[in-house]
Amino acid sequence: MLAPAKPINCPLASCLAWSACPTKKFTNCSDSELSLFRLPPSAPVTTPSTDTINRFDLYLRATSVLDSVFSHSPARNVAMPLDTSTYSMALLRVDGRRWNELRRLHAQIRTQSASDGSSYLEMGHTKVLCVVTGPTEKLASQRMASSSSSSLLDVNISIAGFSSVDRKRPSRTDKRVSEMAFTVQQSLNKAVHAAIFPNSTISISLTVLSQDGSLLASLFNAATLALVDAGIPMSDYVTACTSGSTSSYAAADDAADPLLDLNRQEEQELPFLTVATLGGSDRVCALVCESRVQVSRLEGMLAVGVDGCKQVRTLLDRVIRERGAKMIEEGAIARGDVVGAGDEMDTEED
Amino acid sequence: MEKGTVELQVWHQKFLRYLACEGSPPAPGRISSRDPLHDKSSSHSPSSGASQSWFAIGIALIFSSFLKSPDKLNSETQIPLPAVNMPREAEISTNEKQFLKTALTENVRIDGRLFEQYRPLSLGFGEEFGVAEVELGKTRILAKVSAEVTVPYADRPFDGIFQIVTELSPMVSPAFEVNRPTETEVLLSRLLEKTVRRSGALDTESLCLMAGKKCWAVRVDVHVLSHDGNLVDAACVAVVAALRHFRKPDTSVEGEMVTVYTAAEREPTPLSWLHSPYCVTWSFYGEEGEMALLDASWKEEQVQVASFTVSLNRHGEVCQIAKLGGVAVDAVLLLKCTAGATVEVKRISEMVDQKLEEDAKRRDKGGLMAELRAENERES
Repeated sequence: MLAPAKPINCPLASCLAWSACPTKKFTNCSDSELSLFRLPPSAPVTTPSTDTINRFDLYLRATSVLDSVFSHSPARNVAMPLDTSTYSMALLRVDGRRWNELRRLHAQIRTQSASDGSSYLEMGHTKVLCVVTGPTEKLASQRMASSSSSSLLDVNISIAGFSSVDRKRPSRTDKRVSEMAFTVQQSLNKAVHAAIFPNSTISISLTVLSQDGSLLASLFNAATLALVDAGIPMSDYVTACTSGSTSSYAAADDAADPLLDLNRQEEQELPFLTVATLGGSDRVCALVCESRVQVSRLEGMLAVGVDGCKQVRTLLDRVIRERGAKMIEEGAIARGDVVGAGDEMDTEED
Repeated sequence: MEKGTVELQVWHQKFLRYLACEGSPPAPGRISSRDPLHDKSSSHSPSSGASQSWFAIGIALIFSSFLKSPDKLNSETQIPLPAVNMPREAEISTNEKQFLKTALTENVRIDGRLFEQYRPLSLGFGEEFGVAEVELGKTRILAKVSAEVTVPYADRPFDGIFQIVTELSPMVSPAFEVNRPTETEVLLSRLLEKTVRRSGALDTESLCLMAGKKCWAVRVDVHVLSHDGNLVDAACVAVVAALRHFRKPDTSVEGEMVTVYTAAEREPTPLSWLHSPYCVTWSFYGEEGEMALLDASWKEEQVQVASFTVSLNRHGEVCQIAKLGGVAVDAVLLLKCTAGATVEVKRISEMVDQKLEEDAKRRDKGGLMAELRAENERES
């Protein structure tokens, strides 16, 4: 739980103090301070009142972070200009998050009752649907076509034309999309116990409904959830998230902080990378960076990214467990059964 | 028409003639030796007549692709291929796989290199500007740059056009088909794209001649001549070297008139080059990918459990990182590999700079002589 914010009696006085105070970086914090700061985003957020005076007060409280106190409530309603250079002042990002906060992650499994496994995932405003079909017999054409013949998974990504701001006609031969599909396929291939399914194929079809940054990460998370829903044995969850850095490649400033889970706006302005890890470990399945960044920033970005993946794993695990508990409650599966009888599975509904 | 294009047309016709005389296409070694760019004879010679004709078709297709405009390339190079299933890449045998893996656990690589050792990397330039050939062990890559004046994209009126086109033809391996990009090709072209184009190595704004009306379209064609692993690193060196070696015709703009001068009229100008990124690829082995090898050969690539390509320039800026799946590798090892890559990139960078300088000196014979004479005078 976050410590309560320090009450500020005189807004003007603290304002002056703030302008006089040199920037204190979180890197100077002790471990305990950091761990205090590294709370999951699900921690209760005090909603600021709509009263403008209170909001101003809250903003000042947010800026009091510069007095080395990281102990105030995350002020999500504070309006920030689009320019990320203001970040250094309040240490709040464009959407009011702190450096290590994920956006709201909402996920559901078993959304399409007709499919073998399905999921729906939102990371902020990025929305992805995933349907898993299989394992089924490998088609003769598939056997011939793929030179990497041992691949069990077959990943297809379709990005809806309306998913981003500018409408694009989806092209079948977009190399960027096929690279993403390849990445998801190759990462999950090693997580799935492929030896159980010889000569089979599992097709994962991902549909992107809305894009607002962290697209590849969302695809990873949605695919993992759907695979779990389909009952495919995996060694662990493959979870992903993005992390960035507040410095642009040109600026050699030392004051750059790593950021977690970037939205589209931040992705366009800041260097970022996508990390996917296996389970709660520090082992990285996929690491993709497409922007220019100082090599010294990498360590911080990677550490924050791996930490974010752990947070995502907890969230996804909670989704699965809640769903499982609900199914037991509804009698869809008997307690202790590994897999329920086929008929019962089919009849159960949201 | 550009000098290079004419030359290529001549080659193209030559190859068409080779194709016409059925049954006896010339051996690839001989083709290479006639070719002014390839002074070293090819190490690969297909054994059967059938594969030779495939080879010839591949060559013909490559050169025919030069003659097309870049944007129409994909739609127009529809060649009626015989409806047969292309043979797959011969897979490495189980015994050989086991041998490789066991040797690695005893810290031995099959070619006797250290784990963090590159194969010998050599770089050569053609007679023409903008042609570079890279050899990394047995991997050979040829990159050729060409430029033409076109209309810029409507949404980017102030930018020129810059594209990198990769070709993996059947002459590398029968598994590659023309017009059907394989996974390898897509990944290679994406990596080059991200490394060189997205990182802003070439200042595309400098290619603009008249906003919204005329600009240079610079195109790099990457041809893989032989594949013995680590295509990405070799191709990246080839692309960067070729672009830095390239000279585009000088131009002048008067009102609405753009004049393009020939090399005889005005000295061609180099491209506006901002930084030189190079790729370094690590391959991982072992259950948890705990062993990291630099510059894997083709055989080693067949056994790897994951690969990690990082692109850097000598200023220590990461331009691109790609670990696209595979076994999960410890994050700390990835950071170590990146640190190792920075050292390697500095070495490659120095090598390329030196070769470019040597080539510039070779071309500037008159200037060099003048310099020497001046020095002698001072000494005497």
